[in-house]
Formats: sequence, structure tokens, C-alpha cells
Amino acid sequence: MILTLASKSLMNRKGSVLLTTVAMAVSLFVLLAVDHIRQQTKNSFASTISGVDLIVGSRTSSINLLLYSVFRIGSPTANLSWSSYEHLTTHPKVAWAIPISLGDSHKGYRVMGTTSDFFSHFNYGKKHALTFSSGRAFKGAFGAVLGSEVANKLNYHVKKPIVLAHGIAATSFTQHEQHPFNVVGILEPTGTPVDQTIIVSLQGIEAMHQNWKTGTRLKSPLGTEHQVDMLTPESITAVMIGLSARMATFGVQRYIQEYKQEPLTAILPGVALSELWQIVGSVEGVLELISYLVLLASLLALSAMLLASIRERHHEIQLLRVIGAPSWYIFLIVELEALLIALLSSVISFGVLWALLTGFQSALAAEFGMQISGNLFSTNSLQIILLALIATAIAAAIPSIMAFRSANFIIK
Amino acid sequence: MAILINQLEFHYSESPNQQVINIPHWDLSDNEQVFIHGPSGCGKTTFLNLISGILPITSGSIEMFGYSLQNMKGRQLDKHRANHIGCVFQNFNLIPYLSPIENIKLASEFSTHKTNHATITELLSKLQLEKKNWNKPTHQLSMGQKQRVAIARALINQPKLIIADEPTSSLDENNRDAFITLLMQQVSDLNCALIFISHDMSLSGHFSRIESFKDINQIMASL
Repeated sequence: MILTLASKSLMNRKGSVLLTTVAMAVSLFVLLAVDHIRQQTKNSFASTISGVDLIVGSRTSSINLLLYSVFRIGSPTANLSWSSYEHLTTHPKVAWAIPISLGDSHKGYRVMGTTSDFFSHFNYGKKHALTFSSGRAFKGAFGAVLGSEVANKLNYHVKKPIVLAHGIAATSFTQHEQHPFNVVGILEPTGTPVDQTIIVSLQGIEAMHQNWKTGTRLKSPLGTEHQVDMLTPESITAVMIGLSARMATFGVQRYIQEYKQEPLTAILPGVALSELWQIVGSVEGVLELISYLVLLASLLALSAMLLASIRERHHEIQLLRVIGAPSWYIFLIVELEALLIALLSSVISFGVLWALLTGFQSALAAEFGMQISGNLFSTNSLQIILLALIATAIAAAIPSIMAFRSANFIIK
Repeated sequence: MAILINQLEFHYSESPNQQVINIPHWDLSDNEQVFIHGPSGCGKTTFLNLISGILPITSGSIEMFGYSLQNMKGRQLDKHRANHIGCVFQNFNLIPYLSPIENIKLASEFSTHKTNHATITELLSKLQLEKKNWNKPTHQLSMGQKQRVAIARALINQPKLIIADEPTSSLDENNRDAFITLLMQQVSDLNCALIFISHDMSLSGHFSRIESFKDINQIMASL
């Protein structure tokens, strides 16, 4: 009966109730959206790389190494020598080691030189291997594999010849036009920086840079295709390592850090990712704080609306008291009305957010490479709703106590 | 004895020097119906609020059906009011956005006396409210219809006392006569006590006991 009373009383004040509900739904929408996207970014961030046990580069900070080797952001302070790489591969616990070499670009997209082993060992997300939407991995020196975004934005297809630029700026004055590459494969979208990368062979990179010294071109060109395949670089940017036993991770890490011939850094990608997230995540923390403040504002508006209604409902409260309603019953009605509004707002915001996420999921993935799932039913969202309901009950305590008091001191 | 009042004095806490009620003695037997008249602003509503336990008794005593109201706590008074007293007012007897059935059901919520749907509809038909109006919000009903629902609401918990405070003031003559006939009939069916307050002396013919509030409340004499 009290539920009928509360809901019909709300229906009786449609106008103000509707506006309050919308205000609260908007604030809950913002809160849920920010939190959901935050969770999703965090997840997709953490799933940028998997299956790789260690990343090795020259001596630098772990975040810097992670940034340039995985996210292709910034530049390495120094390279590590090929001999160190070869030495690492001989360690008994190392199952595989993939060298990567960065420093060139194509129309703003970074080029990464590696071996074809990269495609079989590099994983992202929950151990998803890279898959090709068309073509295959490169075999020769001048094959290039494109990340999905590169292929999409530049509208490239398999067999398209491309010329790489020296350096990483979007417009470069020095092009490696003597050594064009052919697109041999295009990868499926991954939601990771791989989508924005052009992957070529180390030999190809090396061939481009033959006869280059200190960033300028000397005159004579390369040898034959066969000669190119035999090229080995003097130095590379980083090495991704898979171990035969995960238990050995820390042992191998220490072994690399203490390597005498060259100062090296070895990082655990997962650990470095969470360190990096602590920096990036704080921005989203601020966003979340703002959305909580918006919720607070809407709760105060709700409270004000109810407070104003108490005066209008003086007769009603009086009547309820006369027919034997205890004062706490009056208190409860106002609380219940507030909670009904909050519940309705939650459902609306949840529904709208779900509809938007589902509707724009593919657009988000295509435009921003963001893999946002439409599944809102996480414990986090439910916690937020629960929190909002509790906050509503607290905010509604003010008008409820007003009603309670007016129920106690009535009638003259 | 339905009501026994002794040395009842009352003033509002805001104005401690202005005594509103001073009743040395007043009583009402079970099944007795009394017509009380008097000008407005002489403390009649305060008197009714004291009897129904809405206002706390600060001095003196009211015994009602053997219960001492001055010794009861707020919660007990609420329960006592729901169980034993039915009220009909001049205006605002009903929650406007609830239907007659819901209004009556709401009143039965707070009483120990359990009521089912059939009892409510039976009562509404007995009080000549057409079935089509049973589920309409009461603000859509005419004044006469509202007052009939108000009687039903007052009767639903089978109270031992009915308090009617100027219940006919907003009714036209036809409705007023129908109302008083219906009320008196229900009261005699239920065999309960009735305090009927009105300034309309033409209604006093329905009562055997007629009192002026001035005679009950001594405060007026001393002023």
C-alpha cells in the first residue's frame, strides 16, 4: 500500500518529478559511461600485449621501454647490439626471442622491423594470436604487413607498393624510395598499437639503411636480393622474449639486468603496463570525480524538489496522521518517493547507455580503435547504482525529516 | 463509558499564557450521539485533536474505552486512533490522487482490524457510491460523493467512536440531508458513539443530546 501511495503521489506531481528524474538520469548516465569506458580502456590497455614474458632494451626506465617498444611512443635512448640479442637466445630458459627495430615511418605510421616469428608469438588480449584479414606474413626482405587501421585509413591492399620514410615524422624529406616494399598481408583489428603499425622484416630495414651513415645517404646502392636476405643488423631497438617456464621470469630478468657486455633493461610487460596505467589512469580518476559531483548536484536538486512538495502536502500528511499513520510512515513515504525516482533514473540511464554503446560499438572500434563492450552488467555498474540509491536515501533524509516533523507538530 | 474527561487543560507551547482548553468534566456513554455547536475559533478542533490523541495531553486526563490517553505513547496513540476512532471532516478527507477503494484500504492499513476487498466494496455500495467511481481518483468525484467515501473510510475499521467535524459545511442542502441520514444510519448499525460538531442547528434534530461547546469548555466563560 505504501508503494501505491508513493508512486501515485509521484504521478500526481508529474512535471517536477519528470524533470528531476531526467536530471538524475543524465548524471547517472555520465557516471556510468565514464566508469564503463574507464574500465574498458583499462582492460584494453592491459591487454595490449600478452604471451611475452620479458621485453629487453638498452638501459632505460621500464615505462620508457614499454612506451617505445609496445606503444611506439617516443624514441629509444639507445639501441642494443645484435650480439647481445644473439647471446640472449642462447640462454637455456629462453624459448624464443623476437628482435624488433623501430625508427622509420610511412605517412605518420610507425614501421617496425622484426622477424616473421613475431606473428606466431606476439599475443594480445587473452592470448589472442594475430590473424590476417588478407594476405600472409612476409617471407622475403621487402614484404610489409599492415595493421588494420593503416590499411583502412590509407586504403591500401595487398600488393600495393609502399615507400618508407626515414625518421618518424608524418612528413619526411628523406624517403627510402630506392627500396620500395610490397604489402603482403593485412592484419585483423586488435584494438592495440599493432593496428597502427607497418611490420616489415629486419633485413628490409637493414637494406634500406645500407650505405647510410649518420642519417644521410651515401651513393652506392644495394646488392642482389640474395645478399639482402643475408643481412643482419648491427643493432636493434628491443627484444621480446618468451620463456620456457614462467617460473624463470625473475631469474632471467636479473640475468639480463646484470649482463656485463652491455647495460640492458628487462621488464615484465604486465608490471610495466600497470605502472603506466597509474599515470594515465589518474586523468580518468579526475573525470570520475567530476561525474560524482554531477550526481551530487542532481541529488541536491531531488532533495529540494521533495522539500518544496512537503509544504504543498501539508493536508495529506495531516490526513494520514488522523487515520492512524505513525510519523515514521510519513518519513518512509518521502524516502520511498526519492528512491523510486532514483530507481527510474537508473533504469533510464542504464538503458540509454546500453543502447548507445551497442549502436556505436563498431563506429568506436573503427574510428578510435576502442574495443568497448556493450555489456554494462558488471559488478562495478551495479555498485554505482547501489551507491546512487544509498546516496539518494541520505539526500532524501532532509525532506523526509521535514515531513516527519510536520507530521509530529500538526493541526491547529 | 466511551469518553471520560477530567480537569483537562491545554495551551499551545508557543503561547503558554493563552489557555485554549479547560474542561473540568465531560463524558460520553458508549453508543451515545452528541451534537456540539459553537462559533469557530473556540477550541473545538483542539478538543477533537486531544480526544483523538493527535495532540499530547499536558494536564488532566482523558479515558477512552478504558484506555488513559495521557499515559499512552505516540505509537500507541496512533494505533489506538486507527483502531477505535473514525473521522470525517469538512474538507480534505481523502488523498486526492487515490481512488475511493485505495483511500479506504489505506485507512485499514494502520488498524489491527483486518479488512478484505469485499468488505470495502460492500461498504461503498451500501453508501450508494456507483461502481464506476470506485477506481477513479477521488479528486474527480463530486463533493457529495467524496463525503460518502469519507464516511466509508471512517467506518472501515469498525470504530467505537466517530468524530465528525463540520462534515456538511461544504455540501448543498440535498446532499447535507442525505449525508446526515446516511451517517446516522451507519452509526446506529455499528452501534458506536458519535461526536458531531457543527454550527448548523438545523441538523440538531437528529440528536437527543445537544450541547454548546461554551458549556463544555470553561475557558470561554472566564474570558
